[in-house]
Amino acid sequence: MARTVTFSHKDVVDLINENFVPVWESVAPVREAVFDLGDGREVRGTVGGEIALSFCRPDGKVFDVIPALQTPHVTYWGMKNALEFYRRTGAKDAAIKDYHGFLHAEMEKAGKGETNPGIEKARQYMKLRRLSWDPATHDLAGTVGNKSGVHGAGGTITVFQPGGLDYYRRMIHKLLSTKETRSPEDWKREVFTGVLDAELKGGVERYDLNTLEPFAVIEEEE
Amino acid sequence: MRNMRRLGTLLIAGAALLSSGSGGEAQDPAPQDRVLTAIERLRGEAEGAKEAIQQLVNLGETALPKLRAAAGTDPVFLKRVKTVISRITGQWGSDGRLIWKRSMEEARKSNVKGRPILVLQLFGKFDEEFC
Repeated sequence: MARTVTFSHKDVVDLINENFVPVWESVAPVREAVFDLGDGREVRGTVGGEIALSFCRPDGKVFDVIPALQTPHVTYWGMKNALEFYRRTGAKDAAIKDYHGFLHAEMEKAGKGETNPGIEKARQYMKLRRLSWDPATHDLAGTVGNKSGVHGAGGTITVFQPGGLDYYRRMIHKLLSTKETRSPEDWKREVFTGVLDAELKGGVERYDLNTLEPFAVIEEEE
Repeated sequence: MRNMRRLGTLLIAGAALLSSGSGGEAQDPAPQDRVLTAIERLRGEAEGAKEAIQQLVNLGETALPKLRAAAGTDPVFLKRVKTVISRITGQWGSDGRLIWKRSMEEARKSNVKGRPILVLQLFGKFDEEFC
C-alpha cells in the first residue's frame, strides 16, 4: 500500500522529486503464508509488511525516521520537517542528538507517546500469539490483520495505523538522541525489531490443511 | 581462408552502407520509434513480449512517456506495461513520476547536488507485485 497510496500521492512525489534522492532497500524477503485447501485451491497472503522511512545525509547517515506505514498527509509533513532540520543544521552529529533529545524531552513532558494499557495489551497479545499458537493459526491471523489491505466495497481499502505514530516516534527520538550516527542498514534491527516489533525474517510458508490434527474425535454411536 | 573471411566481412559492411543510403542512420531508428515498436510487441506472444520488456527496461526513462500513454483493454498487455514501468521506476504500480535508486551506493554516487537521501526500508521488493 506504500506503493499505491503514499508514494503515488502527488504532493509526496513532488516533494521527493524536488528535494531528495529516493532509494529503497529490502530488509528481508516478504513473508507469505499459503494455505493449501486441496483440489488446486489455495489461500495466499502476506504476513506483516512494516516499513520505515529514513532521512539520511549525503554520506548515508540517518538523521530522522518515520516509522511504519503512515498516511500521505503524515508522510508529507514528516518529510517537510526532516528537510527543514537538514537545511537549518546540515544534520551534523551533534545537531541530530540535540534535536531528537529536545523532541523526546518535549514528548515526555507532555505525556505524548507513552505506552498505555491498550498498547501493552496489543503488544502482549502479539507476543502470546507468536509464542503459543500453532504456526498456521499465527500466519492466518497475521494475513488477515495485515495492513496491506482489506477487500470490500468493490476495491481494496488501505488500513493505516495512526494511533501508533507518537508511540513509535518517541522511541525513535530516544534512539537517535542517545546512539551514534549510523546508516539505515545498521539501524534496521533496532527500528524493525525494537520499535516496530516486526521479525526480520521472510519466505513462503506453506500449510497443507489435510495434515491438521482434529480437535476431538467424536465417536459415532453404534 | 582467413582472407576469404575478411572479404566476406567487407562485402557485408558495404552492403549495409548501400542499403542505408546515408551512413547507416536508417538502421538505427530513433529511440521513440524503438519504444513504440517494443510497446506493440508487448501485445504479442509471450517470447517476443519478454524480449520487448527487456528492451524497454534498457531504454529506461526515455520509454516512460509512451508507456504511460499506452492504452488497451487486454489485461495481459496492461500487466506487461506495468511490469516495464515498475522495473524502470523501482516501484510496482507506479505512474512513472518517481524513480527510485536500488541501493544506497547508487544513491550516493548519483547525488551530485548533495541532497538528503530518502531510504524506504521494507519487506520484499518495492518493484514487485507482492511486498
